[in-house]
Amino acid sequence: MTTVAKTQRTINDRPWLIGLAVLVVIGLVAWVVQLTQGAGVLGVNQAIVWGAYIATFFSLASLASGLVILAALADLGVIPGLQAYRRSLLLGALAAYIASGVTILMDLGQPLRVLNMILSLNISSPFVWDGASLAVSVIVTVIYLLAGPKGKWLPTLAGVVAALVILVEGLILSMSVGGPLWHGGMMPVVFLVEGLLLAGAVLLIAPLEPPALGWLRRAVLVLVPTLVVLNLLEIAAVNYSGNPEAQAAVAVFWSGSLAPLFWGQAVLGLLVPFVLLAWVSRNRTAVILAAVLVILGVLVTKLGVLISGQALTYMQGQATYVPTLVEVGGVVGIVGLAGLLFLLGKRLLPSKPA
Amino acid sequence: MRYGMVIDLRRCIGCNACTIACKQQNGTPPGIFFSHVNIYEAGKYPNAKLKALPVLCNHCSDPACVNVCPVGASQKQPNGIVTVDATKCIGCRFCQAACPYDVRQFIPNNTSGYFGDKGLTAYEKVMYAQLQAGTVTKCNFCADRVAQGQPPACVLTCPAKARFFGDLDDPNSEVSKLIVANNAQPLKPEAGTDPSVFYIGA
Repeated sequence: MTTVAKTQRTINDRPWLIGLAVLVVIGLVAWVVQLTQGAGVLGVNQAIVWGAYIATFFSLASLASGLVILAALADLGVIPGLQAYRRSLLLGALAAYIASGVTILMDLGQPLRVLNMILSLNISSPFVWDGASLAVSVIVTVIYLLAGPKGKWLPTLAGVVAALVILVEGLILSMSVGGPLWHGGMMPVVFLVEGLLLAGAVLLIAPLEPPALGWLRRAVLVLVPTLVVLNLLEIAAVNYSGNPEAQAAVAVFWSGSLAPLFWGQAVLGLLVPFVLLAWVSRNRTAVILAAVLVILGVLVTKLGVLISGQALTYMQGQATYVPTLVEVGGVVGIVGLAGLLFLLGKRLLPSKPA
Repeated sequence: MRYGMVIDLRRCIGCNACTIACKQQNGTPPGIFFSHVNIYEAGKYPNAKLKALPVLCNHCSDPACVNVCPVGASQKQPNGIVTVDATKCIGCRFCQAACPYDVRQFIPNNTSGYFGDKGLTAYEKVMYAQLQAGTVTKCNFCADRVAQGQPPACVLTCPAKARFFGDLDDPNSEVSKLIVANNAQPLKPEAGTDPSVFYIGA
């Protein structure tokens, strides 16, 4: 019986494995082009120094942490029916964590020197805190996956460490005095909500049991307006503060050149999915569509906030950013890598906790 | 010892001689500027004026770029100059994102120089060899010249004598006296980085 199931699984996921491997090859080709021709092949420039790679890094790390938090909540008995999928959640989290790490490597101008992060680290840098929290979260998640829940302390520890990763990543932007739009305490909280939203939306697409799907749908229904409120608070605070630089940066996203992204994600990434999840929740296709829109909305917001925070240079006008084909190829490869690692993890790692 | 600069905007004529002198001294490739002059319009018609604001690394006392650098490549030297160790830099560009003055520059690839298909000049070959693609670079107050008792190239070349260089910790230095006498101010003091470049008539 087990052999039949194993054979079936192997046959079923083979097309996925091949498809994802193709995406990884595309990403590898893009990275080789970047390494041989230099970072000039990317869309980033002297003003907008962080683009699609960093947005992907933030999104994957947030997704990973969100999945760990949801798995922990399932083990703690908060989410009904989700505990049966804890292995998949944690494997997905680990795959996303690793893919996010590779994304950072691809973004570096000197990737071979990445060990300097250990050999000559500057402890006051939020990047170092991020790397450390990410590494700790990966280790704790592996233990949590292999050892099982072990009462309440391990799920709690794993969830808290995962949340810390997202909060620290928010701090990377918050603590940057060069980005008036990011500066302040709101960014880590927004990142946390976005991470939970990403994880919840991804799980809504998966074929889970109705109790788990119902809980996740309600969670997303709460998180979407929460994100709207947080963003409105941020916009209100910036406009009330009288800081002209921050106001101008908000205006870039709100009513300037990036306004189509802002309003597009507001309507298609927040409003439409909220309506679908609230009133057409019995239709599985509508739920999946809503989840996909939420995911795309969060990704667009991450990129939009990142770009509009850098677009206004000091007295040198507004900079623009368009991802190049190489960058898009790199991101495609990273998405493929995350999927591939997830499927390989499901195949190779033990299915029962020790 | 804290090296600093005073720029008298009443004297600056926006000629960009400092920009060019900086490029010649440091041999920076196309698109890379350690020092530049912002020309902008102030006021409203009919009382509008064209103004010039030279900008370079502010060599802040509490530099955001040094704090965020994950590998310690950006350093605040004992003489106040903020430097980048190109052999340590990993090219994460966090320092660029953190700098309130947008004066740090990333070298994306090995440059083809100013003369395209004609190849690099002898000077370009020598100077570009000192740059490392994939790292961040910036003004270092012409540290080599300063070590030999010479002023930075931009100070030496300014035809309007609008730039002054010296020790801000010495109350009797020319720069300290100019700051006190003219109530010179730094750019964006609200960023909290305590810059070492001051402007008269800003």
